[in-house]
Amino acid sequence: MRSHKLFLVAFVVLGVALLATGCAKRQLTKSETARLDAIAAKIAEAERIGAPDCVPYKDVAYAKVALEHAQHELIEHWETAEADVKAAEAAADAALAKAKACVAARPKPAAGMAPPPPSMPPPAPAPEPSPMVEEKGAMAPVYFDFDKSFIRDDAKPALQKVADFLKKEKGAKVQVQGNCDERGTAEYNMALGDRRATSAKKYLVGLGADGNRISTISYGKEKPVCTEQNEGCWQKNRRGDFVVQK
Amino acid sequence: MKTIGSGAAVVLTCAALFAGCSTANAIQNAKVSMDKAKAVGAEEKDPMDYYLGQAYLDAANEETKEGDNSMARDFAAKSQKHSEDAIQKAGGGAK
Repeated sequence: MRSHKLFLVAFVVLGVALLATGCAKRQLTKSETARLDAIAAKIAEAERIGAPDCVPYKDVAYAKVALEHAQHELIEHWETAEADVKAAEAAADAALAKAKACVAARPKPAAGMAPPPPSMPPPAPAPEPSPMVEEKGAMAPVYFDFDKSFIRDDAKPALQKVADFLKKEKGAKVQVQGNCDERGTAEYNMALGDRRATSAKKYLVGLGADGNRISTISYGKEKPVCTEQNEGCWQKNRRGDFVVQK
Repeated sequence: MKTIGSGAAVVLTCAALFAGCSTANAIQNAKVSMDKAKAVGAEEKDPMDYYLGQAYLDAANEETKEGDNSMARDFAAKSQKHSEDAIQKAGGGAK
């Protein structure tokens, strides 16, 4: 009876040990991590240089999933994962090549004009600025990525000007108006516009502007400056406007 | 002892069947959601989420063929999430 119990305990311990060994996740090696990072960097590059109108969405999406799959295979079935990693590399290369080809095929700017940096939005048509903003003549809108509210690098100079204005004009107040493109529900875009306006306000406060003199409002997709259905137009609508309120 | 063995076999069979069924259901739900996304024009209006949904769905089908039901369910769930996001952003979600 006693030996029976001992056998049972030994069996359970052995079972648990085997399970633990089998379930332990394999750690990626440095070279594997570097390869995966390189694939991710290529995908990110395809998105960056392709913005706003040359992102090969389908290729980027399949490359992202292939990367995730490769990572999973490296952890779970590393002996046979090489093919999956190569597939992810090929998918990322294809996405990047397509983005580059599209960017190269963009119409060239007229001679003498400097080309805009890749992350810059296309030149916006004359929006409907507030008369007060026009009076000041310095408060350009800032633009946002699709479904995002973070401050892009190309928005920072414009925000610096707003912050400088607020520091100089002690009695002035500025309203930040968040806007979105037409895609998505009215409710979703109202919330997204609010996040964009709040993000711009936070950035201004970070630059030393008085937060008490900055208000925010979201117009969601109700105030488009462009009504065509293409990425160039949508980009112009994904913006934050600044209105001076004395 | 024989009874224990039979019981274990039944439990294992049920578990395997359940896992297979839940994977098939997850993929079917993801597919239905993708069809809805296509119907509301998400391919044009939110291509990133739309194609991520499609890519995850394809990956889920591949994993099923390879017998990795757990990963297949994971990919199917991600597919459904992206297609639902695409529906929402394309204006086809609940107002």
